[in-house]
Amino acid sequence: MPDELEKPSRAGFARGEADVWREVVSRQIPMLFNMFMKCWPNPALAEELAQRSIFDAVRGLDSYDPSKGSPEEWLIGIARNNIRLEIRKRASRPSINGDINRYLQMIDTEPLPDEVLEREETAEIVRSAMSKLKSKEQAVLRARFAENLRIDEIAGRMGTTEKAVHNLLYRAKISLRRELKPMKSS
Amino acid sequence: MNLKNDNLSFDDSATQLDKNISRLVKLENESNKPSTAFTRSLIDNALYELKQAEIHRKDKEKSITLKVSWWEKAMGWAAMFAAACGTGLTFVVSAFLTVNAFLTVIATITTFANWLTFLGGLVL
Repeated sequence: MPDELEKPSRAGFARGEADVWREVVSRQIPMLFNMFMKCWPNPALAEELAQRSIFDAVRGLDSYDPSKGSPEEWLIGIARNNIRLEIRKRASRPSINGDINRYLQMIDTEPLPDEVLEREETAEIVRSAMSKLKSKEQAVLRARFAENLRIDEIAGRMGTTEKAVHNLLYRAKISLRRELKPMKSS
Repeated sequence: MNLKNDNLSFDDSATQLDKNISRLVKLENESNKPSTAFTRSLIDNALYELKQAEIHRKDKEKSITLKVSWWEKAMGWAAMFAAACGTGLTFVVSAFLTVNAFLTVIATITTFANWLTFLGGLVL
């Protein structure tokens, strides 16, 4: 019986029906995110890979055959392929220097290597730096970067204007950067 | 906000700082779930892309329906050839008619001149 119910949705997925896609993708995104996080504990990378996998699925929809498996299995196959590509990319990349703080000093100009973000030590440094910020600054940084909220949404939540959120966000970024800098000597 | 004191500028370095801070702040989130805003935005973007792909596919199908079979092509070419021949023939006939009118005028003038020559001969 569940299989009979599943077949029309498989066909709908293959035809690109928006409702079916919304249902399948909203169920799969957390699973894919979790799958990538298990490989590399880096939320930014997990988001990037989840996004890449979903867009690969959209672009490669013609290759999906409902008779061969469910959309979920197909999406997991695409995600596995992206994991393989990421492993291959990392293999050809030079490994990072042991000192994480050296990379944190260059956050204004250089992209942080994924390997730095995946170290537990980095997460501890960030937690420590964040705890030294004012509570409003912490809240605005979390809302903007961890929750990916828009400025107007943050303003609505904090009961303030968008301009005030912009200013607070700016100050919060500068404060976080300042707190990350002294870590150099530690 | 003194930019010089903060050693920041509004160029790419500020963007890079934003990107790095975004990645660092995300590390704080210990749960293995993506944010709802990220999920919502990804779904919306994927559905938009899907719609665009569908529009593109439909356009492609439309262009396929314009493709015709060989005999329709042959008929088209034949009709075009017939129209071209008809146009050519019209020009040729009209040219002949024009020439014919000229010949009539020339013949009349020639006859008139001959008569004048003949009568001039008689007088002289």
